[in-house]
Amino acid sequence: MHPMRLTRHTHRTLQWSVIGVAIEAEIVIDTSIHDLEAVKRLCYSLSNECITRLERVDDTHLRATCRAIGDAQLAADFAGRFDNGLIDFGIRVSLARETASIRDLIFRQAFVEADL
Amino acid sequence: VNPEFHGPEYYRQNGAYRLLPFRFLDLDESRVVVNLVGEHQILSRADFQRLVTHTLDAESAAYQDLKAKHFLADTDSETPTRLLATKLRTKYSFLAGFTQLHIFVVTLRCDHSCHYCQVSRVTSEKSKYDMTREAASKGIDFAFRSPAKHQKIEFQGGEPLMNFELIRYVVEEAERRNAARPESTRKIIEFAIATNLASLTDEILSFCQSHPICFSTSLDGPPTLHNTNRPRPGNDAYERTVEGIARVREVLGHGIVSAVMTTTRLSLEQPEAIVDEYVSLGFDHVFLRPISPYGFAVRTTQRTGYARASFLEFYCRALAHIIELNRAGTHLVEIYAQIILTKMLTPYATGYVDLQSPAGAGIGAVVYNYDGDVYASDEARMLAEMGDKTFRLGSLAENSYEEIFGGAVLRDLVASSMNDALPGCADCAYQPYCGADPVENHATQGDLVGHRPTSDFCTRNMGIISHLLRLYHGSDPYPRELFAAWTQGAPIAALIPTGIE
Repeated sequence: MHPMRLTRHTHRTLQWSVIGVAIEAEIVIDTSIHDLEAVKRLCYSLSNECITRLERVDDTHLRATCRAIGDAQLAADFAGRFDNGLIDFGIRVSLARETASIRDLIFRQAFVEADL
Repeated sequence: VNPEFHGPEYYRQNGAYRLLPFRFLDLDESRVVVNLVGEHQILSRADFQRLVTHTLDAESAAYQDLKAKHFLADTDSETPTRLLATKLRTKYSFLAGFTQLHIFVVTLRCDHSCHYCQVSRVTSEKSKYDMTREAASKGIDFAFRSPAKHQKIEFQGGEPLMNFELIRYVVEEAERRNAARPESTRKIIEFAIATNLASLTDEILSFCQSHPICFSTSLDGPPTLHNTNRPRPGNDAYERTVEGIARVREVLGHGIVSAVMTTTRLSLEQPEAIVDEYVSLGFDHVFLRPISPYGFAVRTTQRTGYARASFLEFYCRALAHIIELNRAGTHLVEIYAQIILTKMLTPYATGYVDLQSPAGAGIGAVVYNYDGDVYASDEARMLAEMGDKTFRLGSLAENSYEEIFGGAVLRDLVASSMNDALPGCADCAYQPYCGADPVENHATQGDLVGHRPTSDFCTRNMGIISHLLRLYHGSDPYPRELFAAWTQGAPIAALIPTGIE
């Protein structure tokens, strides 16, 4: 099968040109909006369906090239799930940072008083 | 207003709350949030969005629930963090019972040739596959060195009853040594025999009458299924097991024998019949377990194996049947659901080593193999029988307690099984309900940490936990009542059938 690409028109817009069935998607991510940590965690979570290569485009943009594993094709909703995943993993990273100090305190308190 | 108290407006400022640690996942159209200690709440997506943007209405029901469960705090009080610390300590209380389960593989001999056998078995004539008294004695030493007050010594095989003389020695010797200790340092010791019951004799039953010994057996389902999975000369494995269960109950009591099943490909189409078999034999529990990726199960994959989705479908069908049986008045507990629900709905640890973080290998259970080698878990010695001794902790003959339990292999196992920090698990709301299995990761993915997106362990447990949450929060109130009842019975560790033969 000829590899087709899903291609964004610009870095900033969310327009897609869908050309047939895709085995590879190229997604440009604005890192002034999305945390790099969130991008990496999202890519890990999707690593059962695609192999992702991350490249720096410029100071504020990353390119994620996601290629379906083996002979598989990317699911029709892949791009949408990728975008939603960026938001969700962003929230996870944000929550982890917001609660890091109290989490650390809870663990310290739990174990310093434990009779192990 | 009393100056020592805040006015009502202090507590009603939207956005004036701080978030406490939690994780989230999608659950159908909703989001499930789970905090550090396993308390959970189902939220609409709108309420979730409000929660994380600090705009949740303080008068709303969601706010009150989340506050009560310590997902948010709206005062400067240290009480929420202290309570969470106390609950977290309770959740990790299993760490205080360092190595409570000591498994003695008294022989590799077996009269069965099960397709999925967890260990390579040999013919019953090969007595060189029996454990020696010297090795057993050193194993007892190690059990007494373990800090845990409660100790369970379990006998496995092969078929352990084929070397009953060594079982007798270990039981009597452990009791003798315990009685000789100062009273304050004595252990509370129980014994379990994981057996197919085919070799059960009156002499064995008589011995067990005077010692705290219980039995765990395998029961895969109706006669045809059981006998197909577990061939033996005479093709009467089912009949012998059922007869053995009856004899144990008659002599030692009904609750002394428990059973576990292994799901093979043949099982997949008959979950209801399997459950009904347990009911007809008078069990009040059934433990639905997938086949393990070890031993002969690997070599006979074509005959016994199946896709991971098939087990989930099987599990959900069986659980639905169990729920309906309970609704109709038959008391029956599914043990795996009970373990997860206990983590989900109570503050307590379960003591179940296969769903624990850090993993129970070595720190919860240890295996003394027939040849004196020591392994971190039953699965680790299964791997060894396949030629992979990665998880060999040492040897009873050559190594000290400190070398075995403080060595690099066990430290690596612990370090690679803290699911708080594992890739994928660290982002998963179900982390407090789940565990990590570095031995399975190594066996199936070639790496102790493993790769969650392609892990059977992860897919299976996430599927089961999501299913339990859907049932618990569904429109039918009965599963919620039943699940609550399942978590309020005896201590969970006492209900888990140990091992398999």
